[in-house]
Amino acid sequence: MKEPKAVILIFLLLFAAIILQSTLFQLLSVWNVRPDICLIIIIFAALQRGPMAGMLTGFTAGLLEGFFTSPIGFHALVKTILGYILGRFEGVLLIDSFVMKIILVIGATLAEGTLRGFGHLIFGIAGPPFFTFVLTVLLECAYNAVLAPFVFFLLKIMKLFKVKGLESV
Amino acid sequence: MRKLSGFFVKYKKLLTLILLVAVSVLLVVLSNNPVVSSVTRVGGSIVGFFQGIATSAAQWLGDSVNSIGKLGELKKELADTQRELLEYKQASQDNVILREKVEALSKELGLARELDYAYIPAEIIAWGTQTDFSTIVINKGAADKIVKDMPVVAFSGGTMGLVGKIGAVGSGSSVVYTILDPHCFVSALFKDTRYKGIVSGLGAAAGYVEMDLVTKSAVEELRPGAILVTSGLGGVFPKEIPVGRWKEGYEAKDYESVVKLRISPILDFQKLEYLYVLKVENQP
Repeated sequence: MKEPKAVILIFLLLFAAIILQSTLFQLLSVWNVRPDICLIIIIFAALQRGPMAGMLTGFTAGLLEGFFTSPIGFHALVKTILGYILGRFEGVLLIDSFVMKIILVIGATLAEGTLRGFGHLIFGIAGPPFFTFVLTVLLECAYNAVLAPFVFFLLKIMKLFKVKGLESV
Repeated sequence: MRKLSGFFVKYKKLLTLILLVAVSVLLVVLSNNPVVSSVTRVGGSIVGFFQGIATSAAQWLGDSVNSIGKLGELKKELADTQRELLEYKQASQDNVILREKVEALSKELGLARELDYAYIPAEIIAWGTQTDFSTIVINKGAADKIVKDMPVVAFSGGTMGLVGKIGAVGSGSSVVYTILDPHCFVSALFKDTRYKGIVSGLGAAAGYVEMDLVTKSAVEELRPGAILVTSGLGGVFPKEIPVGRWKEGYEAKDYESVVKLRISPILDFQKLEYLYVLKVENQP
């Protein structure tokens, strides 16, 4: 697949994920927590294609999310940094086994929660009490872990983040 | 020159990271800037349009699945009846569903008529995806004469309550900052004792809001269940709209003359479907 085509498809994929998360997934929410498909896509992009793909995917996803979640830029910042960090592990962490997929998603969700927490502190934005925040992040971990194998499987079939000479997924 | 281009090539990833982080930080800091607001408005309109489509599609799908399920039950119960009768019963069943919907809407309208202000009814088409904030997307926007900061109310179990205010307006959709969002501040007072304070949210995950700047003496007079209403100060929210109830618990520091109260919202935000955007006279 040619690069520009892949970029457009990845953007559409993120857009579809955002729409899905903000509408249909409300029906699946527990304590307002919903699965974060965008995060799973970022993990996949970063580990398959490196820091550049990770942070660009993260920035785009965060920006789209910011259009209807205040303030714009907050999620872009968190997801860009996360995409970059995850991308540094390209070729080191392989999304090869079921257990690895779960571990990676849980780790990334925890990292995203931590970055969000720091974001609240740095920008002086009030947030939920610490205990509630930790509980919601843990619930997000569980939700994302359940969805991860399916989303990874779909991304694998779509071959959007295929790495030349590396068929690890 | 070659050295410079070599530097850019070598540190391409790091420089991109710095650039994206800088853009993100600028967007957060300048989120109230008119230019950033207009970008958000355009983006929000596009996203809102597709959210509307997704919600409609989901409703259609849900209705279809329900109809199929109910049709199956009817078939089981009336297996020995003629096909003509079965079709008639299916039509009848559809009528019941329609009537129920009409009744629910009439009830909502009846409640809405009780409002003292002109209003724009709206339907929820999407919810904010992060639990440390709390936003709702509605299917009305600038085309319906909605402007930023308009107050939004809703009815739940026959009770009217404050939802929040319009935070961003797109052409066909708007973003509502609920009172649970950290960016929504409401000047409020207790209905009985008239003690004032400022209500602000802690995100959807918290499930409650905080009322700050309440004088210490208020705590002695407050009773669990005390109702909090909007004070009308600030000009954004009209007076006397119920916001929440104080059940128990407060936070006070010895050296401060004010306390922070924990308030449970009057509305269950998870169950909301229809909202009413109020046209207050002093709105811009």
